[in-house]
Amino acid sequence: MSERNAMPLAECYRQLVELRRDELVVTSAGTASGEWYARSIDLDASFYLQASMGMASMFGLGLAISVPEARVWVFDGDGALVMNPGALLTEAEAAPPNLIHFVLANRAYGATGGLPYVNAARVEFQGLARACGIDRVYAFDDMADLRAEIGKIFAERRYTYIVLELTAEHGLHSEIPLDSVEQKFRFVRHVERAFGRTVFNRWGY
Amino acid sequence: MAAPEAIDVCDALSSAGVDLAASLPDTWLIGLITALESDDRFTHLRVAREESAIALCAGAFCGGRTGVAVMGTSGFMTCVYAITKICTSYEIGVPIVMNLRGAVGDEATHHYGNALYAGGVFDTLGIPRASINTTDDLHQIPALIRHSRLLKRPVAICLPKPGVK
Repeated sequence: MSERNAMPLAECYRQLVELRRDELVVTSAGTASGEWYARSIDLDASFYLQASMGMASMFGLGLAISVPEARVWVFDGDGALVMNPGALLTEAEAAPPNLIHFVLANRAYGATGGLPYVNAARVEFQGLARACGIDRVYAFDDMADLRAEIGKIFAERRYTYIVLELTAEHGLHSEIPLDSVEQKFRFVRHVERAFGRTVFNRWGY
Repeated sequence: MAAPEAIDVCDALSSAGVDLAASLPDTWLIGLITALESDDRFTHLRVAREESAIALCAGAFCGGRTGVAVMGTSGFMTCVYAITKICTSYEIGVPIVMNLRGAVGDEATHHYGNALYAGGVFDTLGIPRASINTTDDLHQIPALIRHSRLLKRPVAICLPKPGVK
């Protein structure tokens, strides 16, 4: 890809970890998950939807609709989003005010060797979202701008879509030290405690 | 024995605690989807790809709601990835309300491949299924939904040809 402004994923995540209060987080596969765990060390309020490309924002939408008092952040890889761009239509129509969909745009399949996805250099994720009917769209490619603006964006409770233009990096974390079933139980137990929900029945399922 | 109507299916779903549906239409599902859309007991979301319905219902489960993914047989056949990566990996049961296009009596020739292989996909993925052909079968709907939760994997609730009105 030609010259473009971009930010390191770890720096973006550090900034977001600083601003995070009680948000529930859903992460897409690979480095979106591994780097979030490395920066947040969160094994309860984050659901690492590993290896389910194109599904994270839909999982997050279901969660946001089900726990409307929670704020839900979805960290979606751009390679994942292009596998299911139609998800943006469902998000735009539902538009739950407690959902923020971040697109981590490194323009490559970061967790599987860094090859670019098809037409990666030219796809424009803001325009894609707007074309799908999403009104509140932001994009950042500079850490100073992100630091200056992101708090103001969070202050307004509306469905929001944010593109983070990222540098293409190697050696990022992609591992989560939990089995997926344990992740589910820890996350759901957290939702039950934090938001007063009963998810599992008295037999524990 | 009478064929079930859409309201019967909605009642059966609601009796099992279902309060959310994510759908992508098939001709035979229009009656049910229209009923779900207009029924205040359900939050209904439209998806552009059937796998999205699986993921959406899985997320809703983690928030304490019970959702059903509504789709045609062709859509179900595209859902292997979402089912194996989400439902199997995380052990989350998502009930699927669908039809069996391409079965005996379906004269749409482009669907017959679905009927040839859908049964094998159900079996391979370990998805229990039941056909709801008459009102006498409606009691199976809440039983299947409870079973999906206990089993922690999808179940298929198969509606009759040509759907419910």
